[in-house]
Amino acid sequence: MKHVSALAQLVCLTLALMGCAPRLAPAPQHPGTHSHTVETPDGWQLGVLHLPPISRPIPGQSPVILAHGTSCNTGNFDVLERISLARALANLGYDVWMVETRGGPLGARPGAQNGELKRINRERYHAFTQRQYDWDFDTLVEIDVPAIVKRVLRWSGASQVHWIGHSMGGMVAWAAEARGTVSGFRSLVGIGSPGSFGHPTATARLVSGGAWAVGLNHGLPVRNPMRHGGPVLRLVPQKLLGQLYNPENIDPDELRVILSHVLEDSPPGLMYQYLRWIKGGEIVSRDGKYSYTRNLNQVRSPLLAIAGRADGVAPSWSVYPLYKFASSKDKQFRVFGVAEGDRIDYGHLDLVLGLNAPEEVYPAIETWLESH
Amino acid sequence: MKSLILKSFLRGWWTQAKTLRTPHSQLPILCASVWLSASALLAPPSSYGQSATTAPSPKKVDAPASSSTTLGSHQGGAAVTRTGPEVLPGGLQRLSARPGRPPVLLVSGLFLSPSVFLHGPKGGLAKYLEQQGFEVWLWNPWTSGARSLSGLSEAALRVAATVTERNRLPVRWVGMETGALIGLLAAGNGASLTGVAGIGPRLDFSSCFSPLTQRLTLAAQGETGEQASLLSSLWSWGDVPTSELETALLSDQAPLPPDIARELLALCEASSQAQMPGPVWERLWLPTAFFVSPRDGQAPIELALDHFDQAPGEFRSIRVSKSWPPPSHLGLLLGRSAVRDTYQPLARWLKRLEPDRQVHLPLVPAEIRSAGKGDNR
Repeated sequence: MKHVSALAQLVCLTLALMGCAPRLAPAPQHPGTHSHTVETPDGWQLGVLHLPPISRPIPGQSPVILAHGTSCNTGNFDVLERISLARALANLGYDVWMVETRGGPLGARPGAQNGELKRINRERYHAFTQRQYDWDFDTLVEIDVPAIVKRVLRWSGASQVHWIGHSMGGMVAWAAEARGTVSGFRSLVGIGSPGSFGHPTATARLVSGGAWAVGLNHGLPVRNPMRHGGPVLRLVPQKLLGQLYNPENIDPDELRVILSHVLEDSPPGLMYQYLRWIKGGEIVSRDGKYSYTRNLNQVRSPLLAIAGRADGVAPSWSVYPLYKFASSKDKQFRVFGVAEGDRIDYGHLDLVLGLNAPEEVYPAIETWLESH
Repeated sequence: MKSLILKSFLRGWWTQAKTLRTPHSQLPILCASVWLSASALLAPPSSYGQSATTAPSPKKVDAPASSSTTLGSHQGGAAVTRTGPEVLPGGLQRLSARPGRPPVLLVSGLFLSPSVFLHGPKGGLAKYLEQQGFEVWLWNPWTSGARSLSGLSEAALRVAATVTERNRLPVRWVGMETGALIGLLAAGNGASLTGVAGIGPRLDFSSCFSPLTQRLTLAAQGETGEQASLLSSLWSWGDVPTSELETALLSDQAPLPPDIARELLALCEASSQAQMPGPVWERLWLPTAFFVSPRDGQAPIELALDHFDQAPGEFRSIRVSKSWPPPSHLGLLLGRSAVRDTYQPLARWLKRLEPDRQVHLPLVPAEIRSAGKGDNR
């Protein structure tokens, strides 16, 4: 045991000498933030962080729901003060609700005893592998999204909500409207949210093929490797992580905080669906009987589809069908890249958490909300 | 000429060899001399393409018949008759006559002259295709005299007919960006083309962003001074060597005729409600190939793929760049990965003109595409 401890210390010292020690810590929650939970019909508790307007509320505006992407938590929108979309909107007077889908660190699984919210962080991955519980995209669309919208409407007393989702956070919203599990939104903003998985690149197929076995059986375990191995990420070649973000548009110190505090595990069911979509090109239900992509024309809410020109996870061509085939009368497609007049080509993570996002992406979203 | 160089080389070598009596001080000079002589001997003839940094200076001829000096050479084991560059009216140029070889017409895009095909790795796409056994033609649509988009289409028909008449073989059309659109328009109007390939093809102007609008506005006002510097900063994000960019873009600009710029600007400003008088795919039963990059902002991949999905499936072929990070718009042609991403697959496709084996999954299923037309287009 002594040897292990000494070895650990040696590793820590080496990493520190190499400049890998974390220099930034995640921002503490804004003092005005309240924590809530939404109970779903099947007994899950979903975590919700409510950040009321910091400045004077905008009269007549609706609550803004911020939904994170796959394998993320609410830190997606509020991990560091500089790159917090939640605080940027609250500062403008919006009523912001950061919601977690099931399985997040703020929620709890069914069967929690005596009202105590039994955290599932530690047991989650084990539970995935043991198949104690599982969920997929359909679960989020059919159960979580309606429950969240219903609850936020009741709490806020509003009649409609704006929904802003990053990656899967936007997909579940348009999919819920397409399937009819929610009646619609005051406006819908999808940030790097695909409408189709057609035209997969060679890399996507490679990842699909390689991840298939792991994904089917174990989900995507990223939380613990990122929590404990974050410092080592500095040593990983940027090319390997370049699919996730544009390295030129993300601060290395901020990146370490993001990777170690925002990422969560994903369940096998969800991974199974992703892999199926990448292989088949179409976003379909787990049983394959319902196609969300084919029902894109059922989306009628005002829509802003945002994509990054250097996004390797949700490339512009996968987001474009959402814009093109939604029936919304009021819709916009905005790609963030140099050719479009922006400072840099945006990747997937940096659309929300990038160096230039607060100056370029956030204002575009704020302008959209102002006009809706 | 070669025998003269050979004699000079041998004489120089013999002179140097005699000085080896004082070897240590003379050895570097001897090596340099031998190396210079050898490189002069092995260098390609001056009329063959030109070097990567020097634009060709073709001689003007009025008559269509070629009268250039013939150089004998061997290519792929067969003797090939080759002539120097030849310029024809209407912005058309033949790099060198190679009778019997399939003709390839390289057409430049917005704000670019065809000299962009003479730059890049391996001496540029034009030289690469010539080495692969094609007769290469270059066309600058912006100096063709056309003053409207429909005029461009008619000019394209004339150009295709001229090349076919001269070579007696139907032409393979390779267009950079808008050059691909012009080819498809020409094919839709009945031009005799064997196939159309698009490098970073821009097939409609329904989605314009501010830099493009800005450039079109400048061009509509007849201003061209800032175009090249705008292009060099916007069309590449660092994957094309700066010297290459400057040589390719700054040395030979192609001002867009103001009337055409105004037409395009009108399409841009009408946003998604307007469509370019684009190719009618139902009439285009000819092989098409697109070479695209996810990071191409000037010819957005989403628009290219959207159009591609409408082409007849039996003939279409697409190649999404496999490099990571993906190349920029100009990187597809001039970048470090251009040979792997564009030159090699393009040459292979031009040789067989068949869809490649890359699996194509449409952006959306055909059912929703046809259903969506009524609502959105």
